[in-house]
Amino acid sequence: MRFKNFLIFAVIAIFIGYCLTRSSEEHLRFRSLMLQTLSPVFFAVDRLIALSENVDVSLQTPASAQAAFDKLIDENQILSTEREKMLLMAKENLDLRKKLSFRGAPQFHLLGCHVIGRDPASWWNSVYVNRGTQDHHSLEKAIFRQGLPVISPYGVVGITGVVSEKMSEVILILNENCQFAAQLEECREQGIIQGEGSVREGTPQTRMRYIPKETPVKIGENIFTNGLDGIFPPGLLVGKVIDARPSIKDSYLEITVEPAFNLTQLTELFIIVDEL
Amino acid sequence: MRRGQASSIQVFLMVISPFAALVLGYYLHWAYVKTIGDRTTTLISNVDNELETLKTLQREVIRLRRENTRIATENIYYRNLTGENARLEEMLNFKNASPYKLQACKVIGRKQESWWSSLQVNIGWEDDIGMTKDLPVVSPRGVVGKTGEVYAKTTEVILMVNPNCKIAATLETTREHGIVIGGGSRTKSQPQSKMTYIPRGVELGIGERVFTSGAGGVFPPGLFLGTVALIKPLASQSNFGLYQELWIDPAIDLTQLEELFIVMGAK
Repeated sequence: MRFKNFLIFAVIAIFIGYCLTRSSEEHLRFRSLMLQTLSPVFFAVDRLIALSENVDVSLQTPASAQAAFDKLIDENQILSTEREKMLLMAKENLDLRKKLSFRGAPQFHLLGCHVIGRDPASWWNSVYVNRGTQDHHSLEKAIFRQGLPVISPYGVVGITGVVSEKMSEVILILNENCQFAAQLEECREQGIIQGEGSVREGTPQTRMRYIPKETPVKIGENIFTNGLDGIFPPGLLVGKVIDARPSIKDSYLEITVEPAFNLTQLTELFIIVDEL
Repeated sequence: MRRGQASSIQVFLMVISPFAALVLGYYLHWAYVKTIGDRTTTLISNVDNELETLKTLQREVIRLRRENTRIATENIYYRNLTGENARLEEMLNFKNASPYKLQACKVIGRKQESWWSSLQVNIGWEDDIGMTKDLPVVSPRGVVGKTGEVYAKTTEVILMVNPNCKIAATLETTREHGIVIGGGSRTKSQPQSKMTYIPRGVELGIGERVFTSGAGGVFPPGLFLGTVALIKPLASQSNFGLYQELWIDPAIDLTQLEELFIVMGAK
């Protein structure tokens, strides 16, 4: 019996040792494989949750459903009119870029995705979505990969992490591994947004780094992406400043940022896929 | 009759009697039963139709919610184009009016700790074989700096506030010549350049505009550099009072650069 225990312990120790000595690419491949293996479980649980959520109280009577439908139709008309204008602007933008001989006018696809799972112990780190490398066929010249920006109508959500065939990890902006360039709305200073990666005083937050001490940062000031990181397009809302104080470690401000929306309530997201 | 047989018949009658009563009732009161039947069918059909309508509405509501979310997200993405199109139009007008061959490029990166010193643009020697070091970099509103190291697909731009950027310049009113050198250190949020080698007797004024003179051979003449922000007293100058020195606010906000032009020579 003792020998048997020793054998099990030795096998586990060798496996852990093997895992720890692998390169980051192999780690990534391993995690992708794990995600691929676990994907049927995620999808099954998501379907169960969807069944229970389908009982929408606001749509139980014909009158309430009709009212919701009418409201959404009105909203849809307003949004569609705005989109028509935006598409005209996008066309004008392409023409101007062509006339100015800019290299590679940006083209993008918004790939809608649905959150199918999240780590209950560290919900602020990442979520899992129902999109993966099998979605290549729906993208014309783009590739679904790690490091793609993920957004919602309310602002920046994060970037894609480990990618498998049917599902992918989205690293949220609260995660310390999520870093990107951003700009303060009023004083126009540029810095780097990085997640805190842990819960302090109940709510996880992000930080904005490299903003000089003398910058007049206002509490409540909005922060937008500036496009200098090559990941996020400019002009997307990141969040607002809730605290700014001089750092004791360096000559910059320590700025605490509250995300633009509640990251515990994520359901429908969009992955921005650029054309190659 | 045996006892077992009697109980079997009783059970049979008990089972059959309700059906028999219904059949009898049906034949006796045909019209009444038919009306009840028809009404029940209509009621069930109405409920069924209502349920179908409700289900269709619910499906439509869910579809519309998704569609509206998608359009709202797309609109947010495109909204940034309003400002960009205005900038591009300004650039196009500048390019058409300019006597120089201008190569448009986009800022793709800058170092956070020395953002005022240099930046990277998305064009290199693979895009234009004429791309070399020390080419003027401008925007429609004024001079930005000059090209530094040139790579295959990117180029470094040394900004005019970098001490390594020296530009031959002239004052607008007095036409006096001097050299504009990057101010280097960053004392204010907006870094400055300094103009030196201006003779002692020249009268200077705050707000006076400074243009490139073309004397250095790098920058063509007549490009707007900035405005005089501060005239240093002779006693405090580093050149023993031989020349006057002044500080210049750059013509453009160097923190907000997005699209630029590299001057490739005459048209």
